[in-house]
Amino acid sequence: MENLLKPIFSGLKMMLLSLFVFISCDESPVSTGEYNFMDSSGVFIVNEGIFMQDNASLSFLNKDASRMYNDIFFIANESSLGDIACSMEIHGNKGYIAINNSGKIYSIDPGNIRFSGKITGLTSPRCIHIVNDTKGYITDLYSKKISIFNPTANELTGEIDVNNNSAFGQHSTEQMAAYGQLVFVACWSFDNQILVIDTNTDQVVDSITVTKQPNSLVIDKNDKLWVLSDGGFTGSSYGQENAALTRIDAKTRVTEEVIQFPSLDDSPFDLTINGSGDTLYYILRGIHRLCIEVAELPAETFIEPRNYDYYSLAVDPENSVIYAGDALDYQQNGLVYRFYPDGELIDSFRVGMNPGDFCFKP
Amino acid sequence: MDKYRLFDIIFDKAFSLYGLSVIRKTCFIVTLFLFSCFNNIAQSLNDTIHIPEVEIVAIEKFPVAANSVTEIDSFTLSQIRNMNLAELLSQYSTVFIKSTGRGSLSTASFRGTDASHTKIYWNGLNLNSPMLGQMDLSLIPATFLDHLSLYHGGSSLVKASGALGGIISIENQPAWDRDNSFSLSSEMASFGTYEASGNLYLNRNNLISHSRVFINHSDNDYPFYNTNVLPHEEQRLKNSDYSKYGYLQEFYYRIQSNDFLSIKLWLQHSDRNLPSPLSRELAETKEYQSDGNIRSVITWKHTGKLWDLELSSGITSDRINYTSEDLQQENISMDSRSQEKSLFNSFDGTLHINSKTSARVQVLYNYYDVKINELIHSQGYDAIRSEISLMTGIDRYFGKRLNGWFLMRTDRVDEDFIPLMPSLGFALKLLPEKNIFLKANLSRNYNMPSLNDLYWIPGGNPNLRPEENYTADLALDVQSKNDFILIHSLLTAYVSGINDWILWKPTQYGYWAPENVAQVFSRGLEFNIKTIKEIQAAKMFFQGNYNLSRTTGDGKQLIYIPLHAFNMHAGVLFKGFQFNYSLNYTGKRYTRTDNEEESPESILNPYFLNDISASKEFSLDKAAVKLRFAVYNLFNKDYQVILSRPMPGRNYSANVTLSF
Repeated sequence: MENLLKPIFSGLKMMLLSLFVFISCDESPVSTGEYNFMDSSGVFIVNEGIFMQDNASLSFLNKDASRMYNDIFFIANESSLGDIACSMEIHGNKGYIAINNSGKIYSIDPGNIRFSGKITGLTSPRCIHIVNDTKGYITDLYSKKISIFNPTANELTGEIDVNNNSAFGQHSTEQMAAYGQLVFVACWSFDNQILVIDTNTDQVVDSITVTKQPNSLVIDKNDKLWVLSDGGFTGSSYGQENAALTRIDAKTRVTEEVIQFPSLDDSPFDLTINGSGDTLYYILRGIHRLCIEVAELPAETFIEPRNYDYYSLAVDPENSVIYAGDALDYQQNGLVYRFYPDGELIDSFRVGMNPGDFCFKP
Repeated sequence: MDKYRLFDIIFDKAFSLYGLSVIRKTCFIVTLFLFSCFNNIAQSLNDTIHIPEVEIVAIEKFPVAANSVTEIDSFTLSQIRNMNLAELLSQYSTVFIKSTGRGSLSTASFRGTDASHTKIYWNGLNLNSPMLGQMDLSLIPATFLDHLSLYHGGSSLVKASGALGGIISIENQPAWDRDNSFSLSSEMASFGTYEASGNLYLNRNNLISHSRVFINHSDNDYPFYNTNVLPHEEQRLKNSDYSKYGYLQEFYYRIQSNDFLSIKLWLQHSDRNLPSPLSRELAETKEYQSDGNIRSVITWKHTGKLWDLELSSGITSDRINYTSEDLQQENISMDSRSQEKSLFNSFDGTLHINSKTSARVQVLYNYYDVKINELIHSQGYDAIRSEISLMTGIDRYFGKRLNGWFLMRTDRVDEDFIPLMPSLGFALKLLPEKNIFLKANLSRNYNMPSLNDLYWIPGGNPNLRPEENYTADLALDVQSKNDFILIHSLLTAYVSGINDWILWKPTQYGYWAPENVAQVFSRGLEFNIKTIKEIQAAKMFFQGNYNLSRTTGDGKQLIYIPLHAFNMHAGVLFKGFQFNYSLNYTGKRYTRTDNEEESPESILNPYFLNDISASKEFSLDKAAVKLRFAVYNLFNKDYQVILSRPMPGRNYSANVTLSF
């Protein structure tokens, strides 16, 4: 028996020693902190993260200091933002973030980024539009309704039913643009309508037909509604047509101009307008720009893409600096570029994964 | 002659060649854990003394296909009846399993490759979905397997093309000397889990019928601490319950002593609720999936002095329905139905040219017919594919210590020929009197894009090229037996490059599409050791696997692939009482392709998992009863395999098995 014990013990010692090689594991980096952006003018970048991995994040670029802060929601609140953070709006002293695959809206203090409330129970929230202190709208990809909420109380107060019982799950609702007492809502997925909602009655009062799949819309200084449609995709059961930029008079709701894109391969998105409401921008294999008075598409690309293509676009309403998000390979931290109004690169910053939306903080 | 006596003779011969010094050296290695456990108790009712089945390589001749093949032996299999194939592989092999949760989607990663690079074969039928290219291993119950072999890397070409990482081959086999038997097993485990299985074996001279059935249900509502909501709170996982049922029927008919016919039928159904992301609050979005499978194969085998032949024909029919529903709004956002039908035909022949040389040939013809329809948006596609594969090869012994082999495979898929896939290898016995082999293999392989890659609406890319792979393997295989202990260990080093790896990426059109974009370079080590020891009335067993996997694209480790992983198991059996211990380690994993570590959740921490189990067997009149109790994740470790998918803490199971 003694013969056995000695080798057994020396063997155990060897094994324990070799285990220590693996025991020195890394714990997650400890990330907590406090922010004070109250007096900083800047822009929030909403990073979507990867679907089903709960790794959406929020970044903030302090414009004056030219400094980017990443993962600010996690650091300020010790919690993940959620799964696919889609868009953000600031109203008064609160910021509202639509977290698409978590089915909720988070509200935060834009100064210290601390979490201040949430609205849960949504299906697939996309964009938020605040009408006034007691009313806001939340669009949704699947639920076929627009939720009405009270931004001050952080509560759902009602809904606008937009189900038309079609074979394509309509209507999905996406971006919104306000005009007086009305809100125009783009219905993008397998759809071709712009719904018109009266914010006094919360009813759909009209519906404008445009080219298939309107993904973004803006209102210019002349009260014209511009809608960018991607036209659908090859093999879609809903059909495909050429993408188009449509101009509609917001008051009369008459379609004035439909500018078609030349090829079925063109799939433009992210229509944006500058602060003075006279220049439009969109992404299509690079960033394009056109003046609202011109009724044709620009001949040249304004800013060439650096990788596959830009992922998101925004124009600073104050100084017309152009912000563009780049998702790189969609599985790592992305980039945000800043360009002067003439298209020249200012600088670039690393941000979170899949930077999808910008929200300016005055 | 009883096959066990033959082993004894070989052991004696091997042992007599060893000196005492070798014994001392092997002692040191072996005293890591001197436990072993066997599990042939149910068969101990007759007088034959059974020793555990071990891989033995005879001294004079060694296996013809000197490939990199590892086997999970039958007593390991019989021990883990309650597991599914994913759990089994993650604990007992070098294959890394990516799991989204207990009983949930689990796919294999051999040597750092993708799930579609690991092909699962059941009695010669490929179970990978032709649409997805991969297979959910959590759906295969371990109780339906009689034999499990892993063909690593280029060794897989002997069976089929496309398995750039490897082939997991599961087989059902007859045991002609086994008596009629019947067993029933019932298990209760944590989180509302219940499992029952039955096994009926009828052997009548030249006809065997083997029937197996299982049902498995779990509420799967394990507790975890949710840090993805504010405030953080203890929660129970919701909407993750599942139910699975299966039936396996085999018939074997011995036409003559060297002619066999078999028919196998496997029916299975599973319903699973899929949990939402942890950050989802209140809105009851329910996602559920149901899988239905019918698999059947008929095989004729002939062994002879000149020819060994095998002719096989099989069909599979698989259906997956997936629904995503908002219960509060009573609104279905997605309702997808897919159906895949496949037909497999194969002819395998081995010609024994002389005592040193044999040639082999294989012809495969497979046909696939798939369709998918998503009802809410009326989107889907229909496709068919036909494949013909031809393989020829030659094995030859050069003298007594060197065996070399070469094979070539060529495939034609629909109208296209895939480039030739050669595989060359040898096994060299390093020393004349010891079972130490050096094995090497060099091969080229191609993997076809899946039908979703080609035809999915939107985004499917019919212009995709097959993924191309070059692999080189070098292995050291040591088998050592002396009076004290038996050890078998295998150390394999590999280098593998994959070009044109298909990745799905978002496009300018707002949808994702696949491209042949990536180049992946994979290198590493696989190490496996098994030891067995008998001390008087006690039997002790130890096995371990270690994996080093450095798999990079653009110089960065691929996401979710750990650099280090190992598992080990030890057991002791004494007077019908058995005790087992398992330890499992998974190293750090990146969740981002730039391997960035500073962001929260950019890495998943390494973790150890400890499991123990104890069982006792009683003999009653004509029956045996076995009681087993197990504790999993003994130290209640909090861990994740995929980001944001919690795994269960400490949990228990109790099992009763009756055998007649």
